[in-house]
This record gives sequence, C-alpha cells and structure tokens, in this order.
Amino acid sequence: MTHRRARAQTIDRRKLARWAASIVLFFVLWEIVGRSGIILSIVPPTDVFPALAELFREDDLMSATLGTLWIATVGFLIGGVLGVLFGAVIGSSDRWASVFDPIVSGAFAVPISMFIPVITVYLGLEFEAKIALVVLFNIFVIIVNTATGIREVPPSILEMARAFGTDRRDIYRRIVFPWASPYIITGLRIGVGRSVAGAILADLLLRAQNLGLVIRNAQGSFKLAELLAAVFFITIVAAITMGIARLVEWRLMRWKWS
Amino acid sequence: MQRSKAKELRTETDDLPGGDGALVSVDSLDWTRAPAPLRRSILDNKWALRLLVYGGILVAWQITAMVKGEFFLPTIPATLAGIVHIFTEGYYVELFATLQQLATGFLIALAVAIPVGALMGRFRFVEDLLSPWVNTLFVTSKESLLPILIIAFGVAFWYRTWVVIVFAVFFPIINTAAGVRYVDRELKETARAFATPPGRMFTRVYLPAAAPFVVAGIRLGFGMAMKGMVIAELWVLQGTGELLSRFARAPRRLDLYYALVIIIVAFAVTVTEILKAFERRLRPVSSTKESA
Repeated sequence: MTHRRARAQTIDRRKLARWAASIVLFFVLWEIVGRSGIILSIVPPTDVFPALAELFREDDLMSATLGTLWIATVGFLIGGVLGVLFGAVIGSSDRWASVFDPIVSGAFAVPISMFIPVITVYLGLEFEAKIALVVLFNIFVIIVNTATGIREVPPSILEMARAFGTDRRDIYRRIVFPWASPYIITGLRIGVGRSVAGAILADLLLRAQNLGLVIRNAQGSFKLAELLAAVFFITIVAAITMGIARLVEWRLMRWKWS
Repeated sequence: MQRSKAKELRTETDDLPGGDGALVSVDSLDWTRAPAPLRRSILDNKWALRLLVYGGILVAWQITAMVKGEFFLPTIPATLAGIVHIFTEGYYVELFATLQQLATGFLIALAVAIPVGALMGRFRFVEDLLSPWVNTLFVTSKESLLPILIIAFGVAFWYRTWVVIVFAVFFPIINTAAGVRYVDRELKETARAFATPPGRMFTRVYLPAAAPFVVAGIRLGFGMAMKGMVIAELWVLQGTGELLSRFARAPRRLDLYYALVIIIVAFAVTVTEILKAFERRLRPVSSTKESA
C-alpha cells in the first residue's frame, strides 16, 4: 500500500516537473521569438509584464475585470435557474423531450454569436442585451446536463419510493435531484466558463466596456505590449474562474466519492 | 436490455413536471397510484405534439410580425422570400467566401489536431508537456485572442482562417487523446506481439480503435469552427458576419437577416447530423470488440 502510494507520488512529481518545464519553455520561446522580431505582432514577455503592471495602474484593470465578471455572474444565475428548470422538464417528460430535444441539440451546433446583431435590435447595446447574450451562451449546456442526469435516475429506486408512498415532491427533492446532481453540477460548472466567454464577447461586441474596452483600446492604439498583456491577463482570469468552479464542483461532489 | 430499461425509466417519470394531469402516459407502468383513466390522446404521438408546438411558435411569429411590422420582425413569407433573395441578389458570394475560409481553417485544424492528439494519448510526456496549454486554452475564451490575430494577419483570408483554427483545434485534440489513451490493452499487446512498427500502430491500431472519439471530436470542433468564424467576421465586419450586422442596422432588412440565420442553422445542423450518423456507424464496431 505505502509502496504504491509512494510510486503514485513520484509519478505526480514527474508530471508537475513536466508541466513546469513546459511553462518555462513556453516563456523562453516567447522571449526568443519576441526579441528576434521575426513575427512582428509578438512582443517578448519582458515587455509584456511591465505593460501589465501599467494597465493595473492606469486603466484600473481590477474594476474592469469585476465589471465583466458581474455580467457573467448575473447571466449565470439567470441561465442556471432557467436551465435547470427547463432541463428538469425535458428530462422528466418524454413528450417535452421529443419536442424540445431537436431545438436544444440544434442550439448546440449553431454559432450563438450570430444573434448578436438581432439582440442589439431588440435589447440595445447595454446591460440587458449583454445578459441575454450570456444566458444564450450558458443555458443549453445546463439544460442538456440536467435532462441527462434526470434520465439516469434508476427506475427501480423510483418504484421503491412509490411503494413506500413517497409523494411526488419528496421524490424530486430526495431522489431525483440528488441522483442527478453530479450531472447538474457539471453542467453548471461548464456554464460558468460559457458565461465568462459570453460576458467577454458581450463587452467586446456590444457596448465596449470593462475588459472588452481594455482590449479595444490596446488594439486601437496599436500598443502591442499592452494588448498582449490584456489578452494574457484575460486568459488567466478565465482560467482561474474555471479552476474555482472546478474546485466548487469537487467540494460539492465529495460526499459521492467518500 | 439497456434499451428496455431506458424506456421503463421514461414512462415512470413521464408525467412529472411540465406534464399537467391530462398528459398521463398511455403505457404507464405505474401500478402504485390509482390507475389513471387510459386517455388515448392525440398528444401521445410525438409528431402530432411537435406539429402543435412548432406550429404554435410559427403562428405566434407570424402574428407578432403582422402586429409589430417588418422593422421588428419580418413575416414568415417575407423571410422565406429572403432566402431566395440571398441567392438572387448576389449575397451568396460572401457566404461562399466564408465557407471556403471555414473549410480551409477546419481542415488545417484537423490535420494538426489528430496527430497531436494521438501523440498525447500515446506518450505520457507529450501529454504532460502540452496539457497545461491545451486545457487552459480549451476552457478559456478564445475570443480575446482575436486582436492579436488581427494585428498578425490583417482582416482578410488568413486572419479568419487562423481564428477558425484556434477555435476548432482543441476538441479534436482532446477527444483523439482520450480515445487513444483508452484503446483496449489487449488489442495493443496483440499488435505489439506481431511486431507492428510504431507508425503502423497509429494508422492501423490506435486511430481506428479511437475512431468514434475522433469523429465526436471532429463534430464538436466543427461547431467551434463555425462559432469562431461568425465571431471573427462580426468583429472585423467582413463576409457573412458583415451581412448579418448590416441587415440588422439601417437600412434594416430583418427578412434577409433571418433568412441568413436560417441558412447558417441549416448548414450547421446538416453537417452535425452527418457527423453524428457517421459516429453511430462507427460505434457498433467498438462495442462488438468489447463483447467478443
């Protein structure tokens, strides 16, 4: 046992070392390519990081980030509630599934961003329009996961619950939703990523604000170091948000593994 | 067995939320409740129900359009005529240009993704080296990379092709890697016992065994490619994206806008369904292998 654990640890350490090597290698390559000037649009990281510090000082990157994340949060809450409810309906009823499954799976295949022009027609360029875009971005994955989870509840358990005279509300509260919860929570976790992507896009293509405005400004003024810094920063923010979502998922699901 | 179980499950939960009391399933196996009267409803036919709901949506659309006028919503006949106009008034040129860039970018993405994914699935150290980047870029928003691509490539062909590559490449990489990683161990060992050379292992063992995963990755990657394409064009106002945005502004032509949306949806759904059918045909091969 201890032997195996020790082996697992060395393997993990090797993995971490490779990750670290990969990250260092990336930055070294970036620096070399950037310094050499072969590719005009790539500025070396030693110029980008000072630019990032500059962005923090002058453009108030923190409040821009919070602004974009606020749009993502509101959109996520609305899309999460609607998505889980709608997914529960589709998952529980063959009828509604037969009607709405084609629409939901179609929405998966289709580029949602093509609705941006028509969203501006109906909702303008401001907050409501941005929230609508975020909801369209996140809701379908939440619907599909919720419906799948509810279909996975084994019929024998439902049968037993009915045999004990459990009423419908309790069947839902105590059996269906707990059983489906890993699927639902995974759907919500993916929805977090979709919401952040949707909010960034909304801040770029609707009224330019927050992080979108930071990028637009850097692009407009051709300040390459600033632009790369902003893009790098946004990628890190999105990655951290997803990491937190994954951690929350893991915490919520821990009862299942233990 | 699996199938009958699924059916049983559906009928058990059939009449839960969303269905009002009248919608009790005819073939309900639910013997614990008082037997519901067997109402054979027209709504038990899924096509009848679809007709009802989709028809209702279309009627609501038409009425809204007639009440609010074409500046709010075009009527259904106007939208259908719009589809014809897209082709007769020369807008299809932009559509084809978009399609060409989509195809180029997507093929390049696949040509990179499948070998890279296969190597990641096969060799641990390749996986460890690449996975931080693949996983980070896979989950974060690739939209923010667009300004860099604009500065690097301008706003013409190669910019849009590159956006498609950046959007489309990750799903096939991740799926191919997963597929290759889970190739049956016995299959691998048998192939090695016959001294199969490494290159042949990939083309004859790993990739065929991983094929359903790979095709699923291609399908999901295609969806991403279309997403990237639309965002790329909306950003720089070129091609089909420019049309979409122009039709929604002054002079507003929502009939053409919705016509274009219908064309894009039809294209996306058709390609996706073809790839799904392909996936279903590949699946039985791997499941017979498992049961053998």
